[in-house]
Amino acid sequence: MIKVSKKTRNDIILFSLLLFISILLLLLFASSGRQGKYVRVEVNGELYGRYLLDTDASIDIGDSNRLIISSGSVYMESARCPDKTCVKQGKISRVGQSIICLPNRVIVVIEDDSSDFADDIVIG
Amino acid sequence: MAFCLSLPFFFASCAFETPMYETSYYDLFDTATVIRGYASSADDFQKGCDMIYEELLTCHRLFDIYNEYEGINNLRTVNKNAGISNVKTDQRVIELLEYAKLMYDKTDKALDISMGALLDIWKEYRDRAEEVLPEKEELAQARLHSSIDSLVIDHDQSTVYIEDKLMSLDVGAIAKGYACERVLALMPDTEISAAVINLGGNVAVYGKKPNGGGDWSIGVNSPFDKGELLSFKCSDLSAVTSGDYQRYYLVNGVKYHHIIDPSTMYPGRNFTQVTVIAESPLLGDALSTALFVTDLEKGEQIADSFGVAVIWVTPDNKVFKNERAKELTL
Repeated sequence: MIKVSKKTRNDIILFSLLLFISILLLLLFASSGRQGKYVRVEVNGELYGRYLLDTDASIDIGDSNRLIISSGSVYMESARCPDKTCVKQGKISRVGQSIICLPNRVIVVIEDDSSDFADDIVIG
Repeated sequence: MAFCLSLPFFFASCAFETPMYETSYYDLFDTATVIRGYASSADDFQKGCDMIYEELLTCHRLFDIYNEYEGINNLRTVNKNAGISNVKTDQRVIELLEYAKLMYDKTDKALDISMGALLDIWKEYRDRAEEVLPEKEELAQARLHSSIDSLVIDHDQSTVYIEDKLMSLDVGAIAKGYACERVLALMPDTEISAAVINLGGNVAVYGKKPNGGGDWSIGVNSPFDKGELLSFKCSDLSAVTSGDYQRYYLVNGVKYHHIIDPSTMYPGRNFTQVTVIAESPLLGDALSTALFVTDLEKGEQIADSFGVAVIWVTPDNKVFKNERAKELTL
């Protein structure tokens, strides 16, 4: 039998505990990965628009980004920036998921039905 | 079997839905313009937007008092020829100026487009953004050269003449509303079945949302917190807000904003925000400016005479709604 020092044994316990918590968290988040209801778009930290996820749409955000809502998911079709990280990110549809275009300061977040009622347009 | 069952649902949920499109422009009326609409294809939407943009651009150029454009006589041309000669111009300019004259009377002089000289002084100080106020004497001199009666319009000849050499026109209070009105008029010629046009806070709603969506919902934000004053459903209606927080500069901690009261020559102090909900975006735009510089009692009379809904918010966050505004609901 391999002799395990007390220190190593504690390490193993700690590691197992962390692993267990990680899996638990993963399961928790996976189960809450509900299909979202709204797409919230922010530019420069300010609300740009809120759109229904179940209505197909093509949204030009300024002249820098084009966002597509199609069959219940959202993706950035094009972006005027060098890295195109947001375009490469692909489709999202679950509550809490987001697409971020840092160069153009655009944030796209999937929201829940439980959040406030969304008007088509807000003035004032 | 499962395939057979799901096929009709697929068609019902996808094939017959009219998609929504949205686009924005940043080179019109010194503000952002957003068009959101429903059309059967991206191409149809784009063609409609091209028509809308062309009309907006034409209005933008005609009502511009700072720049001239080749081949057109706009308000800058009219202002430059004050006291010199009459100017032949577009029928849109004639229509807008005639409307402004009418509204001058109907708002008891609260909407006055002849105050270009006075507004120029305030704009100059606002742009400089130093803590300095214009001299009262300077304002009074400019105010002397503003009289709507000095504006002579010949409808049939399509000409305009300003009799006073030092007077100039500024239609900032109604230009966007007029442009919105023009856009609504051309919507039936486009393939866009329903749309909401937001021209820098001048919002006009056209038609009903497809796919069983029905009426549009419009929210009016409070100027003091993130909450909404009112949220209502509508179709073919317009809403516009005038606020003291839109354009201003500070002197000793006091806000000097862009809506100047013709009777005092200084920024209106009665309200922080006035929102008008009317069928006509032009009427709404004109009234939101006029009511901002009119006291509540008289303002309510004016609003009721036009049958429009109005929400007033005072600097101490008191909210007043007239009867029509109370009727608006989700």
